[in-house]
Amino acid sequence: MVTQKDKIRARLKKDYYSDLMVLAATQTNIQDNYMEVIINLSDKFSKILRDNGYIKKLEYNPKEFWNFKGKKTIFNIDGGQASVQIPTSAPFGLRVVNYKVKPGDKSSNREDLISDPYVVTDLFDPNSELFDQSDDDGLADDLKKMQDGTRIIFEAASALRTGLGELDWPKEGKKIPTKNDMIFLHGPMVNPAAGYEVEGEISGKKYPPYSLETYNFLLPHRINAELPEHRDEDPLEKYRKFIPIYCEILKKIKKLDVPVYGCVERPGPAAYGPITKQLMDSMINKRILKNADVYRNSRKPNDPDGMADIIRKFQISDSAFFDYMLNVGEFIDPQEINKQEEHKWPVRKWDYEYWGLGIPKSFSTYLKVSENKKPIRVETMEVRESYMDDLNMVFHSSRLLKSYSFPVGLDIVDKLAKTPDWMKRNIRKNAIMLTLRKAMESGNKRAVAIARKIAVSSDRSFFNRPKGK
Amino acid sequence: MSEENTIGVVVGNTTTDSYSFILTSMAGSKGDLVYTEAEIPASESNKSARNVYVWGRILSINRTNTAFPSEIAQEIAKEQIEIRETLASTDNEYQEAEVEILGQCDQKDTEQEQIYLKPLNYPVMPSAQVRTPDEKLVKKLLSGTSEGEKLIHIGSLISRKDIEINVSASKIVARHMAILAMTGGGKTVATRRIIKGLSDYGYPMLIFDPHGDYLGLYSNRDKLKDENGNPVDVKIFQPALMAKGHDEVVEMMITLFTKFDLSLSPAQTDKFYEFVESNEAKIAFGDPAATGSRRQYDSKDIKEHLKEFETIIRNELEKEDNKTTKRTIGAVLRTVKQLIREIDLMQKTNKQLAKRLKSKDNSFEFENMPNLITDPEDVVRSNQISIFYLGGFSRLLQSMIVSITLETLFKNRASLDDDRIGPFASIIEEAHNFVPGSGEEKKSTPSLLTIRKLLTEGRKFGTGVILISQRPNRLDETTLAQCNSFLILKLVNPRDQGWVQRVMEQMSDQDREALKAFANGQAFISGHAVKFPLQVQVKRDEELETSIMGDEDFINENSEHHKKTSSNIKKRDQNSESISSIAASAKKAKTKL
Repeated sequence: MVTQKDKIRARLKKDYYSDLMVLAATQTNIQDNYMEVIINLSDKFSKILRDNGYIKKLEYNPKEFWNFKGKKTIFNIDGGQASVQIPTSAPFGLRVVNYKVKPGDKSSNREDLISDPYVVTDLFDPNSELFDQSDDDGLADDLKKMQDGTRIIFEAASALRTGLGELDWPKEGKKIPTKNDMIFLHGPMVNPAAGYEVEGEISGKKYPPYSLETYNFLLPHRINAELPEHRDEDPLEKYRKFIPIYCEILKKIKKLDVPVYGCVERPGPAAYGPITKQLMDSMINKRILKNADVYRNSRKPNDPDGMADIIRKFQISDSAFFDYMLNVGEFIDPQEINKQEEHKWPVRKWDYEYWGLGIPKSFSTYLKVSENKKPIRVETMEVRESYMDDLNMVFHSSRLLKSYSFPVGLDIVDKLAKTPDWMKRNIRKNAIMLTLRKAMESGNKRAVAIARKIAVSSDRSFFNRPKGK
Repeated sequence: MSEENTIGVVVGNTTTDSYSFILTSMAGSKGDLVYTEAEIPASESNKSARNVYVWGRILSINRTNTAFPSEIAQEIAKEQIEIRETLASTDNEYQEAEVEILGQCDQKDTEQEQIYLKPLNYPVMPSAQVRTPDEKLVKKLLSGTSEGEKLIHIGSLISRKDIEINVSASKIVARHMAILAMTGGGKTVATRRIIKGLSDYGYPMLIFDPHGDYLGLYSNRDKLKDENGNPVDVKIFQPALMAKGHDEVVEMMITLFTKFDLSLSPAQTDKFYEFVESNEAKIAFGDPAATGSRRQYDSKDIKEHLKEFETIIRNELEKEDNKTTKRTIGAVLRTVKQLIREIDLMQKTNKQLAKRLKSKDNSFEFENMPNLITDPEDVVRSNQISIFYLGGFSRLLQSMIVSITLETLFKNRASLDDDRIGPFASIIEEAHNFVPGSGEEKKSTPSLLTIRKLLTEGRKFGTGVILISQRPNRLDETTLAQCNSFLILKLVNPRDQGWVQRVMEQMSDQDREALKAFANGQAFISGHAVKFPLQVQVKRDEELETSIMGDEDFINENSEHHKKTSSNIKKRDQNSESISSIAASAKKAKTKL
């Protein structure tokens, strides 16, 4: 019989890992016994998890599963940015795509699509003092953050607006989803918010607030907001910023009838990831593991390393660790994770306690979809009765793209949210020509020289590398 | 010009030759004519720009559903799941059409009777709206012919049945045309349409028909009338190899010897030349220099000349006493007789085939070929279609017949002072046999140079040629390049497609690709006969079709044949059996003796 240890060994023998191991073995002493340690540790940990019911299993049964007859609606949301290589601080595009599908519906209403494009700078309040800051204030450096934050907030708002029935679907009009339906978000359900902190007086990052129009769009339920700050007819500028709005959106999503899940395509590389940590801590609390088996007793230098220490030492991320352990269809019992870690909030304690802790925690799991792909991280804010069924939808819809192993609905919106290459090329060309023309009109030789440089220079890429023998 | 007929928006990079646009689902199809508004630099220096309509033709349409990767298809096929039961998207697609620009016209030009296009010298604007023209506008665009020009109605646009397509009759006959298609592509349908179109104007036509494909015109000749209601006559000629004058007869004789592989030894060759240069031969063949020549230019069937020559040799043979020489003369005589037999056999086969056709349609009247020198108007005259039925003749003889016939008529036409015959069009079926492209075949095809001459001089003398072939890549490129109009029907062979594209100037890659998908009668037409290349559905003249030359039903024919002959064969077999038994017993009786 094939043991879990054999399976782990087999997975580790896959090309990718063996390449890494050769690299590791030739470069560092610490990883000499990588293989042996990983196999033993994964095997041991997987056994503990299985014995204590932390690993659950879904069966792949597509013929029986795909039998909804149009009675369930799945919403898939993703946002895309038009990241054009323009050497100026030109307007930046954002597109949020929402794909609604009713599996098994035979009518023309089976699919519906909303694709909303935005120009990011248009979303902010032009009347705010902070809007016209010069680059000296450091805004330009953090423009990327502002754009990212806007994408995150618009994706979450799209889930909220979907859940509240605010969207006017081209084919079916407005529709409030029920608990039988599902909303999928491409990306984490909850993001660490500290990076998008907007209260300039604390961090010095003076982002302008969103315009009132944008604010009302993001929080269509504002009169009955979860947080009283948002209920004011004329809200303070500081509440029209990332953290207060994001906090409100997530709080409201948590209360929606329809369950919302975030699926993460590329899990973070952090060694000793939050889910492993949460599992270890949880098992210590439940007296399944001894503290010393997880964390080395720092007061006794001769004590052996705990599991957590080994995982850190060997740089094992959550996704890699669970990839070794899980078989196809298996997932980790969802763990409650607090993504708003206090040390990352460079603000007063009150701010952290109110806003940081105000942001709901997420329940995260790893689900192994296919043998050759790392598991997907699936997040939600509340583990409901339908959790197993919902995860089964993630599993089955990911199996349709076996080699990608990601829910097909999200793959669709991901593609649609991307700005096509031809458009990007033309935007770039246009922008460069404008720069060049302005430079020439100015009559300034130096400006023309710079503009010409802009026109011809491009980023270094792999393809420009000189060829070796 | 209404806004309602918008079918898409221009995207991507545009040039003065082409652009792409995103097509509204089901709003247009390949081959459609489209136009878009554009601003181009004005020709006058005091104006900055002028508004024009840029006309184009949809060359190809790509239909993409980026949301449906092939991997899903694999999984649902393997698991036997209905795609619509899953989350996969089935209707999330877009169409991107590629447009070939035909030219531009001023916006006010669309109010005129006809629209004439000028070259575009400035690209269309990305994001411009693409529209589909209404029927009236398309007609104005397509009917671009000079006043009073005679037209032939060829059919309709493949993509828009409401748009009729006409071609210029005078340009076809003056500038020549090639009709190319694989077998079953609709060559005959298209040719019949052109013939019908030309016969509407009573234009004289010669059809060289190796397979009898056009004999149906004879059966249905009562349905052929010119535009004034006068009947159009159809005549079928059984052709012969006509030669006149000593030099021509000798040359033809030598060619035939070579082509039929009838070789003579050096001594026999010397004797042969002695005979052909003799005064008797000169008189017989008609040489003005010969003493006592009967008629200087009497054109006769080569077989008749050969028979006369045979008599001359026979006389010489009788006169000769030397045994060796007698043997040599005997060999020459045998060779000439062999040649006569070969020609005779072909003529018999031709007649046999004609008889066979006649048995199917009793109305067929095969006439002997008239003397083209003396009576060319029997073949070329207004309101007459002359079909030369070439069935049964070898390729060489067919080529010789075509060559001699056309050469004679051309000379007649070219010596305009005589004014015996008017302009005429020659329709040459299986043209690859008459204007072959390969070096080897060229040498043994006398019709090649004749047809080339007709094509080159056709404009001057009105000797238009319509070449028809199902093997385009076997045609002579130089000859075909003289054709100014092309009607290309279905072609599947990539070599044929590539060859056709090389010869024609206006065929795009997409048009070439389309050839293989054409249905019967669908064609790509380009050249002088039309304003710009179009994909058309050729009109079918069902009233001129005949079942005689359709697919032969040999299975039934065999049954019929069996019914008719089996009793005779049986009787003969029985007779033979009884005779052999008698013979056997006779043998025994003899033994007893």
